Amino acid sequence: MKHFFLSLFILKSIFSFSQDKYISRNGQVQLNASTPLETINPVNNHVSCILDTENGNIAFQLKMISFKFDKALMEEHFNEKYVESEKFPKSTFVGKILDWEKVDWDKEEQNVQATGTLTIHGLDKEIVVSGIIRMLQKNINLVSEFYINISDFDIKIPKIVRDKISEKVEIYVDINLHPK
Amino acid sequence: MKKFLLLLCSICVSISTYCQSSLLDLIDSEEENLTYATFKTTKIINLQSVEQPAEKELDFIVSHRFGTINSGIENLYGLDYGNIRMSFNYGLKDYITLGLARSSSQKVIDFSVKTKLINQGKNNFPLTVSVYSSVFYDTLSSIFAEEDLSSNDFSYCYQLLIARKMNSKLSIQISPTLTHYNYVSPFFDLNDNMIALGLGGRYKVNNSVSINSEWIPIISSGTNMIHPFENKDYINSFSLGCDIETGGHVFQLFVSNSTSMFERGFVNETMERWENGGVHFGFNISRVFNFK
Repeated sequence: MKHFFLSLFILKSIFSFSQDKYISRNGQVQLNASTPLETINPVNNHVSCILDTENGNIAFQLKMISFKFDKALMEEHFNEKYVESEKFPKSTFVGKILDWEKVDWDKEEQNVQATGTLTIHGLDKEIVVSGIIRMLQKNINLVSEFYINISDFDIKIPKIVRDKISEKVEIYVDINLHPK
Repeated sequence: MKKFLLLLCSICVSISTYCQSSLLDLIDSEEENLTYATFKTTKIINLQSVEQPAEKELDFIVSHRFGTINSGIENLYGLDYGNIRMSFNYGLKDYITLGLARSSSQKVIDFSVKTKLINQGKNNFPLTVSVYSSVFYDTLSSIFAEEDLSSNDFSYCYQLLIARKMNSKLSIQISPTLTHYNYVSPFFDLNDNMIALGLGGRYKVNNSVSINSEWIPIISSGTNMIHPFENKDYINSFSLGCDIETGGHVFQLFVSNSTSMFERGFVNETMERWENGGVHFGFNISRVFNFK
């Protein structure tokens, strides 16, 4: 009997390893740091995301170098001078969707909040963002929009281009998760 | 037995907690990354670098070389004289650049094609390799020619650009160069085919400034091999300078013993020696225009 429970326990832990997780490797994150002088809205279409539907834990990861700009020179400066992509290749968010147990799986669309640690340029910042979760037939769609300050992540913008790059950057996230 | 069970349980618990703490590891993936920004701009100093303007971008470069620094205060250390070169380089594709330029020294017009063969990081390849070829048209040369043939006005240069970005600061490049003259002006003691080995590099001081240097020893005059250090017949080009990058421009400021700004000129026709103070101050200014 003991062994039966034990093997159940083991089985459960193995199953929780593989099931209950929704994943995406081609989510979209769009930045907008435009000013009247310059349009800066790069898109990254290779964002990875994983959501644990057991507890609402969520993690995002993207490569800074995958942000595509309209101007090649701008892209090079972004990677070379500002976010230093060689030193800090990845940005991540690790957190939790708040009140996960209250999320209604039968409802098509509902507002949620997530809290966690956003890591950009090697620096961590605790953030709370709101977004929308949509339960599609098989998939889960997450959309969120929030702002960060460049200075919070120690990204230095030279004086000569400071008027061209917005200090406040809008981040737009759109991810379609499918069962792992 | 109990201990064993306890151990098993704790392993199971740790597995399931591991699950949660390492959500990130589950989506972590290592893909290939193409190396970018091996050099700040399309030139190291005189030599072409492996950089190219992106598709539908025009890189406009204005270059100046002044007189020699040893020409004295009466010539303001060379600043009284100036050679200019204007060059337009258009990115037909990300990996093909067409260039058109005119230099005031010898009044040469040149047309060039730069093609990237492979980018460092592609299938973990350690080098970026490009081919650069140009054809020079001398609008002035044939006054010395015995026969007035228009083909005498043409000369050619073929270059392999092999570069490696060693780390985020240091990049080096080797450029074997073959120059062919249809007609060599008696002003220069050169053979029809000259082979040189361009060596260049840059070291980034900070995110906007880098120190650049290049040395282009002539290693063969077509028939004989030439020792780069013991050669008395030819003068090798050596340049030292820095790149300063502001938002849209790259300024390259340097000193060099070459005064020509096209490949054939600075590789083979360098006349001044560093040890005599025969050094020119010069600059390149690069500006990229977007046609997307």
